[in-house]
Amino acid sequence: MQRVSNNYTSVWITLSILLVITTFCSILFGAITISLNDIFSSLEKYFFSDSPLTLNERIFFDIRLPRAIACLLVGASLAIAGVLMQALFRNPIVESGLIGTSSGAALGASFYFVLGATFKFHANEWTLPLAACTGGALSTALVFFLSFKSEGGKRSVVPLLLTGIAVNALFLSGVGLMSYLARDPQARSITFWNLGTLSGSNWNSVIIIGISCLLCLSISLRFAKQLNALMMGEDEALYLGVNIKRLQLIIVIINVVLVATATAFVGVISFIGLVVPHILRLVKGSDNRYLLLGSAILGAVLLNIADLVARLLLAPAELPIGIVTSVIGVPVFIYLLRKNHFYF
Amino acid sequence: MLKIKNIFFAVDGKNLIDNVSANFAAGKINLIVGPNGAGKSTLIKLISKQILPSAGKIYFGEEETSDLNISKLSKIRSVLSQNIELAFPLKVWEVVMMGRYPHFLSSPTEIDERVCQEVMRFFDVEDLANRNYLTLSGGEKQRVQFARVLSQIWVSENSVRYLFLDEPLTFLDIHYQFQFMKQLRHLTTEKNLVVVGVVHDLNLAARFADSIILLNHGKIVSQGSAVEVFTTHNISSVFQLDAEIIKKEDFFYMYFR
Repeated sequence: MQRVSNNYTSVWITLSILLVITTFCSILFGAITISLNDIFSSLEKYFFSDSPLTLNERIFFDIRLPRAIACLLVGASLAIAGVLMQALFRNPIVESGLIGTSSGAALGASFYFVLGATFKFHANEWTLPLAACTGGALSTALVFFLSFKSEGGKRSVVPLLLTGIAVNALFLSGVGLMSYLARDPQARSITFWNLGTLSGSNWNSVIIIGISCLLCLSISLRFAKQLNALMMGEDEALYLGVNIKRLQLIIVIINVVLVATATAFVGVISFIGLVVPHILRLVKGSDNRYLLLGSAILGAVLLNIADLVARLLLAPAELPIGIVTSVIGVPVFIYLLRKNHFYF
Repeated sequence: MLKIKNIFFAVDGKNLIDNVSANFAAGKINLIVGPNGAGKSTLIKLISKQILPSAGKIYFGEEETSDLNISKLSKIRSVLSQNIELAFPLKVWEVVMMGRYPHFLSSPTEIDERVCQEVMRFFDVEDLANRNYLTLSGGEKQRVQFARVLSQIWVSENSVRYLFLDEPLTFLDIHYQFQFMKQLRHLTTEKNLVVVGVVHDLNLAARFADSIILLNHGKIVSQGSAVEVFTTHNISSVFQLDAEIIKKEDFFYMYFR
């Protein structure tokens, strides 16, 4: 008799090792290389004595460590959101950008850059994340509201997808208009933000993204089974006791929280949500419980690598990380697609 | 026992189901036949609570469907449709285990594992357990779906269980059509299931059904045993075909001209 269970042990071990290695690399290397010694002495001084930190210790504690953790959390958030959207739309080439979340966040951010400079209103470090989050939530709500109205009681994601395309186009042309109206430094800010960067990470952003990421991951794991059932179609899922409308609503809300929070702090980073679940599916199938946990780790690993590349390639200058993820993501994606038509 | 009482289902003022009443007894195979557009699948959707009737009532035993929420319903009734595709690759046993989803919270219990094994053995898909569902042939897929759907209602929690079939035989060759109908007959009696199904092949229906409903334009034309329902008059009025009926003691066959 064949055993009915999947053995994921090898995957978890591999992913954990990758996670530890890339995190250490991301802390140690950059424009300035810091040593393991600096790390230990910095932690020791911070927690056990009042003596002032050296420059390297400061770089570790105030820049590298929050940046590395933010990177892990953003990568995890985007990858989890990717799994959720692909499961909900029953389509492996979907990511969160599709239902308007990213373009809304981008428009919110560009409003901030242009209007903030023009009207000189009081802005602090929270204004940009808030503007982006508001934009993301607005665009997603708009997509949802419009598509539910046109649905007429039928449960289907097709109207959602189509409305998403329309609203995306609208919001992106808004971003275009803002860039057009903006004077040079603001236009550059918009462009830079749209390409993503982790250089602004600090402990505040780590805490916020961390809360959103862990909370959303634990909620979505509760719905892994229902998302599995959805693979067979909405009718079959319904026969298995899944409340489709409720599931759609919850998953989309989780997606907005994950993506808007991450995007608000680091800008638009594409392809992580698309590539990560795909790689994991090629390795061990599509059980959503495995995909959610695995994507959280692999998303963190990949974004760590991308961030390292972004920092090291033109050091001491930095590349936008969104460009790196696209440049790495696209060939990997195409290679995997061509190599392995069926999954395992 | 499943009872439907005076149900209507209207779309844009047109009655797709028009005042249908019927009783479906446990331990019997009840099959619905009729031409395309007669409302057979609509009727299955109505009793599955996938759509709600415009008027009329449906009872699972003593309980009305409006009192049964979908998660409660999913523990006692399962539905088999035709040609189910998966959006993503899963192993066969993972698909079969989906049938147990209504019964466990986050990970399968021993009972779920056992049911999964038993059902796969029963439907002869044990050897496929670790195969990718997407790489199976149409017939293999359908057998896996039989296993999944039956695993949902395989064991009893002291309540009558219901099995609804929407053209389950479409993608099977004649060998598996007969094998499935025999397995269905066996399970229906053994587990005292309430079985309601839609089939296209009238002779197959005559061969295996305990009770037949002939549907046309959303109305019941005739209901009863094969001999009562499949008369030359009914067949010519519903299907516009002349039929020659060959009857011996336990043999009933229609030949269409």
